[in-house]
Amino acid sequence: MADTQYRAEPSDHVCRVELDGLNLLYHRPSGQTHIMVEPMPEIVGLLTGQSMTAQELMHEFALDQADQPLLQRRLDELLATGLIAAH
Amino acid sequence: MRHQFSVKVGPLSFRVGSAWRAPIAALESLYAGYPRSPDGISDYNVRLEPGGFGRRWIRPSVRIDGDFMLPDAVPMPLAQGLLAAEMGMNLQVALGERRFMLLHASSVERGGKAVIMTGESGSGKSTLSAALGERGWRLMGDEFALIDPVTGLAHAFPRPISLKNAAIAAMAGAGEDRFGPLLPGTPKGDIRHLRPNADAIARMDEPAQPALILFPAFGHKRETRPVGQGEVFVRLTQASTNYTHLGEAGFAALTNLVASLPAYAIDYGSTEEGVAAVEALL
Repeated sequence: MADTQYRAEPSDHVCRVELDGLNLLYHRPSGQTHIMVEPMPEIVGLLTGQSMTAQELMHEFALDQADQPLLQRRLDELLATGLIAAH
Repeated sequence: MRHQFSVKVGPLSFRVGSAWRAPIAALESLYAGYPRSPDGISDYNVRLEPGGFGRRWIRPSVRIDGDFMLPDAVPMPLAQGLLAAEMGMNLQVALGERRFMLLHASSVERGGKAVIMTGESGSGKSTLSAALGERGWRLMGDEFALIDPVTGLAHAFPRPISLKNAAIAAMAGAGEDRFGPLLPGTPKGDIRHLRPNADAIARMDEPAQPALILFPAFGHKRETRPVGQGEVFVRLTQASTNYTHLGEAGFAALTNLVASLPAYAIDYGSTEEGVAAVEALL
């Protein structure tokens, strides 16, 4: 849905370390370690402390409309991990 | 239980009870010179029980029991009772340990610096650590490296080294009195345990600063390649039996370890080449 708002877990729920280009996120509530590469950490970073729609994220990343399905897939993957929520 | 044995290895202690005398006698001989559990209290208990009704006497078979156990494990013949005890001790540590982050790795130390060597079973990490232990390095352990999540130090856990097949003859120079009995026909082939040398046992309470992570691979042309931190992290999470149980402390310990140490894959075709490859790096 175009106006769905996405928001990341509060920053104190996540411990983040970068190793050699890999972003490691330890999610405190679930105890899970997530290994991420670009653009996932950037999306989580933008959605930390604020809610945004997919359109707003497209604008932030300067993406074309053609890239919208790709961004949506990444958002769906992040939703599946529990690192972001939709509302 | 009828027969008992206790031992302290580095920071961990064990009590092994057995329905038979023979496995306990083998442990007493193999662990000659090791301290007993402090104050008679052990961290972990292993029990070697008959594998079924009457199996204490008729075609005796050993079932490994203890604080932690694998319910579907197949009983082993009594002739492999020593192996059952060793497997039982490994099992308790792998499933129960929470004070240290465990890496399925061998480790050796020289000048206060520890080299951690991890790899699949058969990669040669046990034999290489055993060989280094006879060449001026201190053997800290051939099965588990124990990393203190608070200090980041590696703690020694110098259990007898489990040598398999050709590695048994390769280490014959260590002296017959340090070997346990030959255990033929195990699922991993012939196994013989080698007691670490006196220096490794005397200094079992001395931790060391990790300085190098290696991924040895025996049976290849000699080559040393750096391994990126991301790959090291992923491989070490796979090599750790308790990473997830430690929660954020495990995450912090492992990321600190990986971020602060160089890591290399070393391929080698002989023990001598392996020793040379390690010594070239530290």
